[in-house]
Amino acid sequence: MNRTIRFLIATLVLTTLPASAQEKTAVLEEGKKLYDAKCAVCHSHRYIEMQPRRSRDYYEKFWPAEITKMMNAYGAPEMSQEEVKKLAEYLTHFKAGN
Amino acid sequence: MGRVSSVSRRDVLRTLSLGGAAAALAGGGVLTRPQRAQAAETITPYDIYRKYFDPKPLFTVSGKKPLLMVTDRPPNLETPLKYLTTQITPNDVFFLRGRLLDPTNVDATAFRLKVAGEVTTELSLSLHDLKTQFEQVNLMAVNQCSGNSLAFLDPPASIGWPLGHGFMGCAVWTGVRVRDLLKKAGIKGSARDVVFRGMDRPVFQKGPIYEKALPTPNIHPRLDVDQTLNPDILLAYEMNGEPVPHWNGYPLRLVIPAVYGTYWVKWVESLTVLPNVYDGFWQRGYAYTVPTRLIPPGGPAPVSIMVPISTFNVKSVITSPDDSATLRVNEPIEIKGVAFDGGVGIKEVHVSFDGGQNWHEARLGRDMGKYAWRLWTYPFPPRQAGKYTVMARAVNLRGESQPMDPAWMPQGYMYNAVDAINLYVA
Repeated sequence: MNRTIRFLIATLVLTTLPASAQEKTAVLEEGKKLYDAKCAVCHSHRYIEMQPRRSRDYYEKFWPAEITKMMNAYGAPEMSQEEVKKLAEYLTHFKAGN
Repeated sequence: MGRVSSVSRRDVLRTLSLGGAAAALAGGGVLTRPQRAQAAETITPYDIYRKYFDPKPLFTVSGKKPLLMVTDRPPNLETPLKYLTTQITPNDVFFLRGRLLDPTNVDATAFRLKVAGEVTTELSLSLHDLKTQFEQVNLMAVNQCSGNSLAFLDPPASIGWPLGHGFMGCAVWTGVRVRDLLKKAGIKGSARDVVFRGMDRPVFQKGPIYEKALPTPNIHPRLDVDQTLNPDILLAYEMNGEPVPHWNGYPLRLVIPAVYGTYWVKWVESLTVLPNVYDGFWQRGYAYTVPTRLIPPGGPAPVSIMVPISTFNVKSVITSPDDSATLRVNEPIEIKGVAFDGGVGIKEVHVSFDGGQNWHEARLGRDMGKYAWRLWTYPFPPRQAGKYTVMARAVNLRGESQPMDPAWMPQGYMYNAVDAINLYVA
């Protein structure tokens, strides 16, 4: 492989990875706050941790549907679409594989 | 390396040990090749559990021994199998299903049960009234949650709970007949249904209060109020000779034998006779409803085919020894279990040691009535070292039995596949 391309890839990896990791951490922190504020009144954290080991794809569909059900059927506090997304990301990262 | 065989070494070892087990046990010949191939594929419910879930920690709430924690808040605690080897499940280990906020500090002297709606005279009855004005009835019956054993489904049910076989128990319930209460109140001609309400409350006012009416039989429709007049339906204030524990519905819980636990409303405060068929939150949509046709594993069920869950199917559970227990050669043990159905009665329980090729009849315990479970045992003298898979299935008096693979339901209800455990003899 061309040296210049290798250098460019290395630079790209070094500069983008930490940034996206930080971004991910920020989303999870916001998601945790949403869990504390909107879910924890009824459900202990074990409700997330006990879920089965399944694919990320499965949980990315599962959690937004669950959150919507909680708001519509059980009167859970309303959340914006953006908040639902962040909360779902937080809930997903516990048990989702690849 | 050249192709040796499509069967892995592990499969061969498993097959040999199973063949050995069968020969040692039945004293008969060696299994034929197709039988071996099939035996090698036996996957136990516990293998499926371990694929998806971790072991449950113990958790204690007031009035209970440490039980298996499905969830801690609200508490959903499962009875360990070691407590399910007796005819009666003690109150302090009986499973509990928490859903909404449980009523705290119920004052038993101030408590009044209301009978209202389409009746000639509305009633307000104290516990003392119930115990003195009506006939007292004792009934031994299994209570089982709709979702019992759901963690043994592959893929897992959508609720995602690590729930084994311990959301069931058998107890003696003492109370009054719902029929007698309704007769005293006088049912009007306009009556169609009866709804029971619990004192537990949703966290948010918008949330649904816990109420249930008996499921409408979808094959032979009839007035639902007639079902509620079944003399075996009780409002119980005692469980195993003691006041019903708080977590099981103190001071009064509904007992509908042979019907899933969702209808056994806890902390009952009222029964209301309705001029229409009840269609509340907890028995429509996907809440405690089951599909009217088989769904492929993992598949969705259209809401249009969902009907309220109803009576138990035939079920047997191996309660001792635990899965993966280690035994010693020539030290005989007894395989123990329980079997029950939806009020018809258990006829036989069969046990297999070779992946379901040969079945041996287990010894049944005393018949304690059609709603109680039947204990069963089978002697097991392990004569050779190796891995053994033990399977159990029950057959009822109507000839109904259990499937080898469970019927898949999105919410994991009504699991009743043939049970199986692995044993290791050293």
